[in-house]
Amino acid sequence: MTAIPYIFLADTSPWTQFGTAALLLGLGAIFLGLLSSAAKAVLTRHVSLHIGLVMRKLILYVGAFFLLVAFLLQLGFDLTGVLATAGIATVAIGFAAQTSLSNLISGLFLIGEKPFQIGDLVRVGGTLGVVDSIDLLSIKLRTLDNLFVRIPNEEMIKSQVTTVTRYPIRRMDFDLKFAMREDPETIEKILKEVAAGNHLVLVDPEPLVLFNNIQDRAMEFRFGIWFEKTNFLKVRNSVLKDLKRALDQASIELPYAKVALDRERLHEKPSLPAQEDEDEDEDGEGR
Amino acid sequence: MDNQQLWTRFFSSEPDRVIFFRLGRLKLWLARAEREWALASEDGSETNLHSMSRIPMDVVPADLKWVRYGFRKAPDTFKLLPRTPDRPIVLRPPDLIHLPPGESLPLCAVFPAWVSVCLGETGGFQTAAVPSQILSDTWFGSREEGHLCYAIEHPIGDFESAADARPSDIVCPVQIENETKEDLVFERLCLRTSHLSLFAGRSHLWSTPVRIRYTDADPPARFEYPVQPPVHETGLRRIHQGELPEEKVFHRFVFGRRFGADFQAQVRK
Repeated sequence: MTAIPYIFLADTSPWTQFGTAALLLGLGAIFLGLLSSAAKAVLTRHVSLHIGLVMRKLILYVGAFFLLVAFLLQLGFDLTGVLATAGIATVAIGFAAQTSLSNLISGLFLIGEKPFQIGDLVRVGGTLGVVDSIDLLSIKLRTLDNLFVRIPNEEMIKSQVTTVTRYPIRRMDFDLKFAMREDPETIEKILKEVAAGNHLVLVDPEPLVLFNNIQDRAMEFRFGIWFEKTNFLKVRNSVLKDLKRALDQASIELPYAKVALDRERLHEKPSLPAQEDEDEDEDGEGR
Repeated sequence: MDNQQLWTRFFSSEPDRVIFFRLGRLKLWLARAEREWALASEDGSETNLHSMSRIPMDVVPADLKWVRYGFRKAPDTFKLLPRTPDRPIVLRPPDLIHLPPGESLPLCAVFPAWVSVCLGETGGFQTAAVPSQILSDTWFGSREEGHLCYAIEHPIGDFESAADARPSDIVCPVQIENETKEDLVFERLCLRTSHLSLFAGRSHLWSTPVRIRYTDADPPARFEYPVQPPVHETGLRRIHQGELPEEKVFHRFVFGRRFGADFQAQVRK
């Protein structure tokens, strides 16, 4: 006799059982959906969008599991054997799912640490993107050229993550070189005027004008201007245009590599250094 | 046309004629058709000119960016409405000011108004406000948190600076009172202009005064926005009602926590 895998324990007709189970599943799914949405809305308002999304998924996954168990129990299935097997399966799954578990635990640490939020621009390794979602196993980024990047949480925990938009204001630095013949006081004045003339450059904190170094026969200046983080593109474009215009008006040239040619010696053959102990063949060329 | 007429009078418009306003640096064009109004604005060069003229369409610059408003029947009258800037402004004295204990200091801040247009009679549609002068961005607070504000070109000073105010400028009396037992060194303050009501004076605009009391409490600075007009000129006409400051609505603790950091000063013992 073939063993029946599951035993119907309830003492009602199968159709009644099925109907009750289906009703339980339907109502349970609706309740679960409402509960998870409400939790997301409340947590988003009072904590953060990040926590709201994570809790919504947690409630859905855990709730779905218990709903499934209730559905099967209502149908009359005996889950004792399944639960007993689950203990052994857990160990097997644990070995197989090490990476996923690591990602899950890393995700919990990321939730607690909150190094960034949804909507932040972050740099992870060589990837720069906007955080689209922070899930239990991975982070999803949308790059500035609209590519989708999935980064496992384990990698996020191990990597250096730069949250570009963490603070409301940022400084944009320009490293400029000027020819040695230029007057550094004039250069400083021009740079300050460029900053003062651009209304997107913050008056406070004051722009940085630093005479950084003299190297490779050029003066190196660092010109740093502060701006509100959402104005990055406008500030970059406008300040560079203003700089070019100001330097052109002041006839200040940025240095470039020059080679000096001596016309009198131009047609001379270059003399080669003497070679020692070299065997020559019949043509006089060395080996 | 005097300053009060500029801000209180209703103007009529004719189709196919553009009305051009010059309000200091602001150039404002308004045009009306059967079912729409169009507005354009531009920041011009520095001038004390404040005028209105009606010009034909063909002399209007071709590269203007127009903002259009559609109506079932476009109203044929309009009025200019001055507004306070859409962000707080940072006021700082030209040099640090020391205020001995128990002393108070009356100061005056001059900053440009924003201009909106009311299309139709009183209560008609109000357009978005444009600045009569474009101000530079600045930050008030620490590098981790603070407020994006405007910086004004004139430092806060005595009332002599109000003499240079243009018709589209707002003059705001500010009184700082040192109620501590130490010497107060005033560095700068962040003025939330949305709480200011505006009045039309003979030659420029006035706002309700601001009173800042520096005390030993925490936070030390308390801002008060009296609703009475300034006493520095008579015959003022109220033309804009400011928002009520939150301290009148919420608990004092919230006000203190929110506004206490708007005043930066050092206390020397």
